[in-house]
Amino acid sequence: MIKRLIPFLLFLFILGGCATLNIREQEESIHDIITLINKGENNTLMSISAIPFLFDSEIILLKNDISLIWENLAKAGFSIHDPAVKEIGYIDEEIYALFSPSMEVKTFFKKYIPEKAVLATISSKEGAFYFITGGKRTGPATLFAMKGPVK
Amino acid sequence: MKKVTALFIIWTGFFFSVYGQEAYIEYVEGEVHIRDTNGNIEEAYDDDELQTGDTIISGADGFAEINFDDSLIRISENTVFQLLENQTAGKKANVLSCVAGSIFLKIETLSEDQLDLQINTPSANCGVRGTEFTVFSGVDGSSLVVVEKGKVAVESLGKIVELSKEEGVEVNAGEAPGEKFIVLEGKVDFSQWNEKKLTGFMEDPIRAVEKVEAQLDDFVNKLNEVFKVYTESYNKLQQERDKLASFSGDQEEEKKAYYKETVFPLEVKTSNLYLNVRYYALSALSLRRYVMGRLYIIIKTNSIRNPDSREYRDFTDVYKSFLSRFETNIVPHLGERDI
Repeated sequence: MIKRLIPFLLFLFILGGCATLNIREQEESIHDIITLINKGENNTLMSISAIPFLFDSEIILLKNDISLIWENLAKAGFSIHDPAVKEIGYIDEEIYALFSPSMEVKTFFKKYIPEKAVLATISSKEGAFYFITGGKRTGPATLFAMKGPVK
Repeated sequence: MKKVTALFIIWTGFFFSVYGQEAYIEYVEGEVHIRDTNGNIEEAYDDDELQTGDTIISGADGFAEINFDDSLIRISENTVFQLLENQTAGKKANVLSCVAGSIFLKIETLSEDQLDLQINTPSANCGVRGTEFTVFSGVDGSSLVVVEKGKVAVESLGKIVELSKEEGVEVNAGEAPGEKFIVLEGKVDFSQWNEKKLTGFMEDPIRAVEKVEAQLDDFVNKLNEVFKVYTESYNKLQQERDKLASFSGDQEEEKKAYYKETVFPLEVKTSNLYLNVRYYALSALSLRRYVMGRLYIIIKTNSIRNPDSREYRDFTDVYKSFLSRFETNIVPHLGERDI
């Protein structure tokens, strides 16, 4: 009986390990994204932003408009001070409401956010930020959505 | 809401399958994408066929020429252009919509199908009769129409301004067209005009957003009107279908005749009426996505270091009111594929 259970337990262990690894990778990516924002690296931010991109409750379809977000934030000298990952985990069906309870945002999550995407809640001097990231095992993560600061 | 969705599902299949306009990309340069009716975005290539509901999006270095029933549509950089259709006086009409950026149109002669061709922006409708003209859509939802050859009628909120060669008119979102003015050929600089619009917006963002909200209200009112007419036709169609189903087995010939003479014409009429419902819902969605979305980005990022400012709070109030109206009045007419 125990012999039979070993492969199953091993499988669960590996699965859990993969999930933890992905979360850890995404957490590192979130820190990288915040650094990019604070340094005003709008070209790099543009290259990791998904299209369409969710900015607060706005679904942005145009590359130019996404570029406008990062350019304007850099121009404004915007920084996220004292950032700390307060919470991080896989998204669930209700997460969309954090951005907006609208049908549009709900559909955006359903259509454009991959299953393994992660929601990170960041606390900072400016207020809370929500980031949705996901994607590659190597290289930078893709940023799908950002909301904040929320007081 | 459920009723709207049900009607939507029934008629969209018909709407998108019955109409086949001849439109294809003749030439493409730089970054140009096509977003189809399901929201899929693909890079555009020469000879790509375009369908009703497609949106052509050009990037900062993008340029495209579209052949539309032998007429030429030139799409400039940073432009969002849609192929739509609606129903006017019982007939289907093609609608070419410049949602953002600018397009140039060269329409030599209009075929029978093109007679009801309309060129729209978020704030104006243009009727054409063989002409060459340029349509600009500004960052704040306003429009500029400049005629190089022929005649164009520009309409907004019921007021029509007739333009001839080297004449232009500006239409602000939610307002009637202004006074027409003389424009010398090649003397209009869209970038400068758009920059001026952006400056105007930054000086008084609340007023600008209120105008966009007024434009939304216009779409909502028209949508409610056409939806009422559509619903009446749909209910009448259901009654006639029930009647058709009541024919007995030995009345096969009468049943066929009843379908041909009564039910089928009503099916066509109802589907045509549905085009208008879709048309106003999609026009409002474009206004929300490409005009209000961009205005939100500008104000939010400019106020990011001062979110408690009076200006930002006032903007947020009008913005929320816009979203609420959109959610209540337009969203019930949209489906997941529109997002």
